[in-house]
Amino acid sequence: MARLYLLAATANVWVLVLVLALAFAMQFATGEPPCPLCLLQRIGLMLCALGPLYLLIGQRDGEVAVRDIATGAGISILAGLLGAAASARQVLLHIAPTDPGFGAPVFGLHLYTWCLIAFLAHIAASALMLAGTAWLEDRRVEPWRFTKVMALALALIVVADIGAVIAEAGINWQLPENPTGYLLFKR
Amino acid sequence: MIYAAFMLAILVVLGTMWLGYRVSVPLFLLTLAAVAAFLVSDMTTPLRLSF
Repeated sequence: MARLYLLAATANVWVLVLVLALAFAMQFATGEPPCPLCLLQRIGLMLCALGPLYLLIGQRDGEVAVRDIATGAGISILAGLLGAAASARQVLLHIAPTDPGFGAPVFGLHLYTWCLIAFLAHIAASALMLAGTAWLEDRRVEPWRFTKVMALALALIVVADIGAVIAEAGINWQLPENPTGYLLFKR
Repeated sequence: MIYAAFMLAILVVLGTMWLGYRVSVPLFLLTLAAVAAFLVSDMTTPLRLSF
């Protein structure tokens, strides 16, 4: 059971890192800089990843503690609620029948709609992990090997996004409503 | 720049988690509250944030 938690947390972090990396790649592949709400959703995804990472980092000493699982799930649920609020706002901004939506759709849905689905699934998965602690006791297992790689991958994508958002916003505190380029490189 | 500041705060939370500091959870909550306040303030000034 303890190993199942570690596997679930690992899968959770990798999926979130993958989604962030895909969003980052699409930004350059399609030439569409992210809008302010898109960036808030990315921040939500980053915050969500901290939940399962909290559990994995806490397990480095070899103990899977119920307290770490509960704290990690709490972090995940709070971050998921924030991300869901941002993506739901963007879905509602484009809900009118004639509205074409923002950005190119992927598999028939816009990225903010996928994000809303991802945040809701993340909240449900975290709640499930929390409920499952009823059958779990603190247990020693072999230290998980991939935690450092996952933390580094998340840190790397966050640093890359910081660079991209600075390039996009230039020296401005806010972004334009509908950004079309990178203000840092514009004269 | 404000988005970069939020992301930087996330990096700091990750760093404190990695180092095992107990302050990591309060820092996370602070970051979350700041982002939430930003989102709510935007919702009260319609359509300033994005499309």
